[in-house]
Amino acid sequence: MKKDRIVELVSAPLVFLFSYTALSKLLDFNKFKYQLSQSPFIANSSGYIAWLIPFGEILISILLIRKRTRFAGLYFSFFLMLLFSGYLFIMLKYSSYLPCSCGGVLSSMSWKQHLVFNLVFTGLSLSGILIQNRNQTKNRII
Amino acid sequence: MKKPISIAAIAALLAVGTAFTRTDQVQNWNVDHPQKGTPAIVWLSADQVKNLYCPGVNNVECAYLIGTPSTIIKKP
Repeated sequence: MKKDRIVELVSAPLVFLFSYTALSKLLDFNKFKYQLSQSPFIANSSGYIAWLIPFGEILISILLIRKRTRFAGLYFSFFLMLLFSGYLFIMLKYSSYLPCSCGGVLSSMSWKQHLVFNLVFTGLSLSGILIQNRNQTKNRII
Repeated sequence: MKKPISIAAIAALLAVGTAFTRTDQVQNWNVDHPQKGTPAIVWLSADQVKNLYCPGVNNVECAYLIGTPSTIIKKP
């Protein structure tokens, strides 16, 4: 199978995840904003973050769909998933309470399940980056 | 030749469809009754359970799905 095709296959679940969660958040925007405002670490800037996250996710989805911007999309998705995982880890470790501010069906997951879920998608983004990197290095050598 | 639609684009379309199909269906919940301290069975959506029975901080177990031990409000 061509490397480009593999990278596209890796990107597809990420596109699904980001598009789905972004739309779920926007469809239930007031609830999402309220849940973010309950978070002990980001309560002060929850108004901005509530807009930033879904639109950031949509932007990453668009980057991942287009072949020319897929590599950048993989990098952004890796850092966003890493950020989400880090946030979950800090909340689990240091927060006295855990408000759920996740989109769609993800809100029915426990926080530990959510952390594992995020780490799987972080790994998926990283594998896409590595495959694409190897592909580009190979093309440069040829 | 016409360019085929990419898998990533199909994934995006599927995600849009899934997001618009609301997943917030009513289910059977075992809720710790706030007044009597006894569990009560309610048939509500997760959102309704959160808003009606489990408002505020999430540091105590409040409700769980019957049949599936998936607690919605709990500090692990």
